[in-house]
Amino acid sequence: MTIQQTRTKWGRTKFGTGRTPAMAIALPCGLVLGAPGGWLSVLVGITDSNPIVGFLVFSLCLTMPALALVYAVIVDKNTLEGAAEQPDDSIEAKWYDKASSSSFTDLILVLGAASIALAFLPTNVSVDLKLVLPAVLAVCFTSFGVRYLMLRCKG
Amino acid sequence: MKNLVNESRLRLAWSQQRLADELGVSRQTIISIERGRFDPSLPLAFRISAVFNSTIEELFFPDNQP
Repeated sequence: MTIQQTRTKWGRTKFGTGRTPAMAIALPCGLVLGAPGGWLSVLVGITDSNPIVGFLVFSLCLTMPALALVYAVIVDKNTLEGAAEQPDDSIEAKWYDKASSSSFTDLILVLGAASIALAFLPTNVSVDLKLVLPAVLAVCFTSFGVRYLMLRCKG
Repeated sequence: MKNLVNESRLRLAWSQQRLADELGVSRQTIISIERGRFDPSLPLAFRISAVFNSTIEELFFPDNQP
């Protein structure tokens, strides 16, 4: 089958001739998008103690999500090995929807409980927003991941 | 909802992967449908019945139906 022959592990782009590996575009794009973040960290002085290491760490941390984002946008899912042709009809789509809605409920519960607990504290607690937002993000990821795995184990 | 997907598939001597490929869904979807843990969407139910050359009513029926 022609479709089977053109399928690869990382897939190909959905535009152009459709022969270009998606990673060949996503990898340089991720690097190009991540490097300015590293450069910005040096410019604003966050990494004054060691600018080179700071540049590398910031660039690397930003390159991975940028690469993933570009890859998700450009890859043609029909060229991926093992990808279902009708993913919306598969049970994985149902798990995804259920895990999404449940993690939203979890987030409301966690934020609500934390707000109530903070309201009863006698002293004012100031929390750095730079820590709070990643923590909320981590709760979202963890909740979604655990719920999706639970649904998958149930079958 | 009960179904006769498993019996229909075995009658054709197809593997779960073969049926999944025919329907364009994952093998896990077939496993869950056969176990009665996943009710397929209407378009998928139509495709299943077409693959087995039967009707939706012949393949799927409510739990309380004898």
